[in-house]
Amino acid sequence: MVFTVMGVDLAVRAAAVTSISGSENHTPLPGAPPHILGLVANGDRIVALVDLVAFLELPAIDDPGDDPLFHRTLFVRAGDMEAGLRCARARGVRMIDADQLREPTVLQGSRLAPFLESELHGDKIVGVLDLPALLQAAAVL
Amino acid sequence: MTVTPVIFERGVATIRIAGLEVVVDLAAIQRFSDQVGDADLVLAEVLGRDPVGDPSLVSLQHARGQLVLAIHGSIRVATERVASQCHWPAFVAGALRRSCLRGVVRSGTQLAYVLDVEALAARSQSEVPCALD
Repeated sequence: MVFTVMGVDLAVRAAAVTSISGSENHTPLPGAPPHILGLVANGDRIVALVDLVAFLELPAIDDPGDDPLFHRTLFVRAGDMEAGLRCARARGVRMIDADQLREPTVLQGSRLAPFLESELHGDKIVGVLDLPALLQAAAVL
Repeated sequence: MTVTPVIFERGVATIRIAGLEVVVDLAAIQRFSDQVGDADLVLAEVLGRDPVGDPSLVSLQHARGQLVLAIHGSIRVATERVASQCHWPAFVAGALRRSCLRGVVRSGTQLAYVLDVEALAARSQSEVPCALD
């Protein structure tokens, strides 16, 4: 599943995505760090909403293509960790072969790099996230 | 995430404070008061909010005695039995523990946090954050 956050295309394995919804109204969570926007109800679950821009310290850009109508929340799960990832746009599921994945060399950022599993090269570079590592680091345990 | 049934036999007090909704088991509440006095804890501070305005004082019964909680917000009491599901999202368990919360329940179309009176009591007696008790 490919999605865009602050102009950066990222992906997680589609099997880790449990659902996608529109931008959620969230309930603030006391004692949470800035990258936790709050809690949202998702079906019968109550899930923390993660701001990847804040967590990955992605630089702000003025993206003329950014439209709040397209903002989405990707609900993901890795082991017993689950969260909603807020993104500017969900690009959809892309079928790829394992040999299309490269070692991450292009996407930079000291906060992003530790969570990049690989890169997908094409018209635009897509960073494939190591979701278990990202959720473990973003969690407030 | 852990989900456990929660039943408030005598009802709940719902506190609205700085955009948050917090529920307390009515069985734990001994007394309400608008009189200014010494409080053991300020709920707004426990929740990381700024206390604004005059507080109400609520005496809460816990396993080892009572504590007086200052509440800077509105309090609504419902005296009927309430049964719900209390969610404990493991992803943010640390934040819930630090704020002396037992978890989160659905409250109409919103979410409300369930106050952990025993954690509050431990915090008031040891003056350390709930998570370190």
